[in-house]
Amino acid sequence: MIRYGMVIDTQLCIGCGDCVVACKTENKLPAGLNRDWVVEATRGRYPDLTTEFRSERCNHCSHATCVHTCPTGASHLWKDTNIVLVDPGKCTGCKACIAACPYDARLIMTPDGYIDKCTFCHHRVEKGEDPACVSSCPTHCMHFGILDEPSSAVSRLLASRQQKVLLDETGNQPNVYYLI
Amino acid sequence: MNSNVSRNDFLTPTWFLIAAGLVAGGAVGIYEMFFGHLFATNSSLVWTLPLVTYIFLALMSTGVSLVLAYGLIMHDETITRHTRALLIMAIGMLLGAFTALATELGSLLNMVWILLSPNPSSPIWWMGTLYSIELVLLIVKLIMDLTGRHGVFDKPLAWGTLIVAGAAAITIGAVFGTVIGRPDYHGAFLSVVTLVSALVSGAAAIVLLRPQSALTETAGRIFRQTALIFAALVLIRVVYEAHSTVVGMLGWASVWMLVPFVLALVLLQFAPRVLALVGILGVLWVQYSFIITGQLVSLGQTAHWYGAVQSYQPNIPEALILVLGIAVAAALIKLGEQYLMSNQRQDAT
Ligand code: SF4
Ligand code: SF4
Repeated sequence: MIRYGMVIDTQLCIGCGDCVVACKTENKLPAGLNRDWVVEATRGRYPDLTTEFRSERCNHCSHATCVHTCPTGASHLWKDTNIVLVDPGKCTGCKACIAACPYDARLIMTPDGYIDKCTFCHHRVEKGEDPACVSSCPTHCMHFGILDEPSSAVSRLLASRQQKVLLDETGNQPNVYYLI
Repeated sequence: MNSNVSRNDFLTPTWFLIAAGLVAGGAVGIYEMFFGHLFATNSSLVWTLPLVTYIFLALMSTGVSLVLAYGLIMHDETITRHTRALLIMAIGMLLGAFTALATELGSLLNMVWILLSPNPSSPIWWMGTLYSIELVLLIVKLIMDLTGRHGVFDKPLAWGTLIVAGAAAITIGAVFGTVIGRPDYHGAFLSVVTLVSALVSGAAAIVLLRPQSALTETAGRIFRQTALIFAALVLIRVVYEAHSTVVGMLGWASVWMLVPFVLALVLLQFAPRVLALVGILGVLWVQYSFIITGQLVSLGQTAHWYGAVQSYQPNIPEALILVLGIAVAAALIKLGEQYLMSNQRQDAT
């Protein structure tokens, strides 16, 4: 299986929200629905506090609880990768995947009722391009690539910098990393 | 089939109430399925009163099936004498549950699709499949009873119902218990809660709907015993939540939830039907509380949209789906009693 991942440098992210706009434009999302979002968190211990901006989305987990819990297989893996997609035609709107995702990375597409989420822009990845959010970032804080390939930019960054993932304790094995 | 049913049999207060429920709830259900979204759900709080209705009625039906299967296996005549009535009750309640679920899923076809596109790693798929098998088993048993075909298949069917109904109730708990990110949902405890709540509400429903018979005594005994276990489970949960240090856990249990079951335990013989109803409402309260509380804490972007902890109050359309589910169940049970029970002993024995 090819394991795609994202590495996001929180030291460079300025919280501008360009990634959110790029995603909405690329994927033609309706008003009010976003597949990615920017979190503003406080890092450190008083009085040594800094602000951390994090661009968040579906983590395309290696242990994707949403895929396991989907009764119809509408939530599935794209080809032989960890990219999690939803087939709207198969989605019953049971919302089990929303309950099962510890990152609240899924949304109900109104008015149709099927579930929508980040696709890592697999239609661009197929053509050898980066996801729209990565391409649009003005500070180049986002990187995309194959995590198990030692020579890839994402692997090299992870080897050279301190990093974290979100909610590691859930066992979902997320594939979006944050450089700290 | 009873051909002596006349129009007057439908001109009763019960039928007027059922008809009002069917019309009001049906209108909401049809609007939700075909025209627009009426329920108070969002991308974080996804399962509200319509799903609670499904679980409440499906578990009550399971409880009735389990009591009947127990009676058939143990040759308890006080139960088996009412086989047909109990089958009608279980089928009516299950179809009422499916009606509420169809409105929740937005379409009948979505329910069928769950069966046709299976993912065996999904608890919801197992829940849907087990309840479909359960419905088929109940209908087969009813047809056999109506056609007077009793014999070699009775025992295996009773065992089949016992196993499938028990597994279905446990699987409903697993739908919530296998969710890892939401502290109020996790754990096998919820499967125990759903199984016991099925028995409590099923036995109470029999006391409520089949009064003045020896069956009331047997069902009342089962109700009292299971209500005691259920009260103990709620108490364990209260103590656990009071001492829990799990981050993000709100807690769904309260000592007040013990009141209906303690009342039922102590006073059942004085007013069985009233106390059975109190017990059923107590079960609904517990189920509602754990299903809703589990989703109130938002985990990601939804915390920005709806607040870190949401509050929920059912809106009128959602309340009408509860009415619809109960009305469908009541209508089917009444129809079954009027058309299929003419040659059955419904007397007090
Ligand atoms: S982040 Fe959520 S939606 Fe994305 S793969 Fe993991 S569990 Fe599924
Ligand atoms: S809502 Fe759709 S994608 Fe999510 S679990 Fe149900 S069927 Fe699968």
